[in-house]
Amino acid sequence: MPASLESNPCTRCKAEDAPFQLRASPTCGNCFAEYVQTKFVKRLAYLHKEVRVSSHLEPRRYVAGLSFGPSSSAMIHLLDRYTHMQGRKKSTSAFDILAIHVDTDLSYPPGSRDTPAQVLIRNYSAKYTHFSFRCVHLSKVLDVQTVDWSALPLPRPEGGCSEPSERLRQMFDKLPSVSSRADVLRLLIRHLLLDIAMKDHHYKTLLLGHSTTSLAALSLCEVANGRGFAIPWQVNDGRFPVTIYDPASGAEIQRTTYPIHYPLRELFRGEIDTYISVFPEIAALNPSNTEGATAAVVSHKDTSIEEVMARYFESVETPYAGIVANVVRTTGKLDRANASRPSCGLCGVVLDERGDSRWAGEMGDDHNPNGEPRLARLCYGCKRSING
Amino acid sequence: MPPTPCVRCHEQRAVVKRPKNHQKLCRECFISIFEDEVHHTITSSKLFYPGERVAIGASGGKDSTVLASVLKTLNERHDYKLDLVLLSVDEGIKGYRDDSLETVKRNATQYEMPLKIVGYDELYGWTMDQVVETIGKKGNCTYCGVFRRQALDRGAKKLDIKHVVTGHNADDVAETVLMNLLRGDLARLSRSTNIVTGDSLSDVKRSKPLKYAYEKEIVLYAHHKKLDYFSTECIYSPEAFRGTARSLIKSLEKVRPSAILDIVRSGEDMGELTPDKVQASCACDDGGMGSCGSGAQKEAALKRDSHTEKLETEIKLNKSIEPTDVVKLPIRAKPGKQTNGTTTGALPSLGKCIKCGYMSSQSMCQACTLLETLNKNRADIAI
Repeated sequence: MPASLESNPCTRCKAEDAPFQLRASPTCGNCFAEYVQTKFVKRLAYLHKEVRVSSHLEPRRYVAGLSFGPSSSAMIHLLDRYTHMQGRKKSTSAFDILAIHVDTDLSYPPGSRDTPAQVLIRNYSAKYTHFSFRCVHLSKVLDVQTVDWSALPLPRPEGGCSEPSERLRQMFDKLPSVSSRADVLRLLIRHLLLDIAMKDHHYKTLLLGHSTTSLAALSLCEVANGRGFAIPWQVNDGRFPVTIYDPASGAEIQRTTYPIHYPLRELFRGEIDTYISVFPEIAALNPSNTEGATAAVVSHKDTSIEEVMARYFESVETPYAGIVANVVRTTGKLDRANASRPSCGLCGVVLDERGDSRWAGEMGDDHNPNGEPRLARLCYGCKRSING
Repeated sequence: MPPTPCVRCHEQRAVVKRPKNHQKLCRECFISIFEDEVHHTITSSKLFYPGERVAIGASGGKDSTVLASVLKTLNERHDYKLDLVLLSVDEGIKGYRDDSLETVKRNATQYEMPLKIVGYDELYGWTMDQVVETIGKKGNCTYCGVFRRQALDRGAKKLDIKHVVTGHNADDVAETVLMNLLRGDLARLSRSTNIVTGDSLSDVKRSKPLKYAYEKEIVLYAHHKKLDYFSTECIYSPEAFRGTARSLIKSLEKVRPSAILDIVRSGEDMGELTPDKVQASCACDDGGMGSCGSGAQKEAALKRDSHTEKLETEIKLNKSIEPTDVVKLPIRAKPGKQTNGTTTGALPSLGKCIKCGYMSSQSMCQACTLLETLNKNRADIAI
């Protein structure tokens, strides 16, 4: 019948109203949500198996990064739904989630209340009552010992500027390009989240809400940043190397690892967007969250590599979805280099010392003529971000 | 506004803004710094030995013309003692290759180098024009790419030369790194950034001395040296998918000029991290370089697989590479050894083509497989 061609029923449950597309077949909202949930739960189950230390039913305590973007908002929603589902069963361990938003707006002093981020975090907190939420100001990253601050162009506190936000702002001003700023900011947020997760010994893992698409973009972004060596650590699930430095001397004190997992790693960005459209309450929490990476390019000077990559993958996700998954799988297969070698003071990944001697791409005239020793502690990509 | 002086010699007027780092240089300084950098690449990776006979893969395009010119200059200046020969492949594309070959012939006299041209028609019995007539415009780059790589090797063998240099530039290498990541081709990823491809097993080694040179700088060099080169795109369509990688590189370069070099560096580093660093490969490929290879087929496969069943599954070798109408030759299975390309994950091992003896990871090399399909169709047409 011609009428049935126009509105095919859901291929899974045969419900009449099937407005969504899942792998080119019509799907209803419920089935779509279930598909997303299944993909998510599989990764959570894997994570649980990886990090649990006892066969007893201990609560699963995770720290979740929350940027208020679609993916991390969906992650909180998925965690919430899963917790409800699990709550009915007595045979599974309970969840204890601490969601953290890092407020990167340096124009507010760290003590101020009612910043847009704090208003949003209260919205989340009111909606997801059994999770804890915290809004942390980026300036707190200066107390983090997992960054070798002596390797970064951070003004010294005794140099007349002691206010943390101001020091950070001055450091960002010194960075050579928009790409560098975006790159360093991303790394600092990761450090801050890791630091909070590690300091509170209850929490076992850091969850980040990257989708397949954003992991692919992150992979290629790191390739373009010259940080190919770091990719297996940056995009794979598992223990991330952390080095703790003495804040005064920059000397290495201790080395450890901490697990980072991406539970949305098997969902495309488009699928997450559809999931959000199934549950309007997610978008309602953050009404301003509508802009995508597809906004027209105004100036290449003000664009970062991160944005270029995000835009590229947004454009290829529909016609070539296969490649998006390919990138994540391919980079996931790369080895992680021996972790006993010295590590980069900013991105935390093992330094590829032989790589610098092998590298014949530059004649050496681009390097800092003063030969500042602090830069030897950074990897090729981080040097590029700090020095240009 | 007064003219900006060159940042290097501080005397001449700067006429070039280097695409690589936006340094403002005069003509002489730009030419000398470009040559110095190629010299640095050659010496730091010990590409040549004194007295070596080297064939320059010359297409008449900007890259190979600049390569020939720079190598001639450096050979004289730094006394490499190289015996340089131009080696061209005639694909048999009217309105494109015949014109560019004229350029190569002029280059041969300009640079006083002997020139050898090998044609697809004499090697394979097919010109590209005939191939396109038979199979259509779609996917013909696959044929051309496979044939060209073998043709270069065979040409070099005819000249008894063991080293072919090609004009691949940093943009090409960066593009290949991205392409191999997008295709999920780990084996090629580990090879594509090597400056020298082909290993001890193969008779002819191939290298890319312009690996670190930006495409834009190559154009500028050709312009300021007033080199005679041919600049027309191939009349048969290029791959659409490679095009997206190329435009991605270009937009990255606009955002941060060093990005191209950074991608090359990342590619080299990732090559060190590939789990199974087996260098053996079918030599009809140099890491997926150039606008050739099985890209068109991969592209079709990517489109088809766009709704991947499970993201966590292994990538399966694309079976469609082998045409269905080819009679499969019996292969004796050796324990512990791979029989053909159907095993997933593991890298293929190197053997010899049973038909032409050219190195191949399959029982028959790609060129012979493709030829078989072509010849079969030709027989049909003849009837």
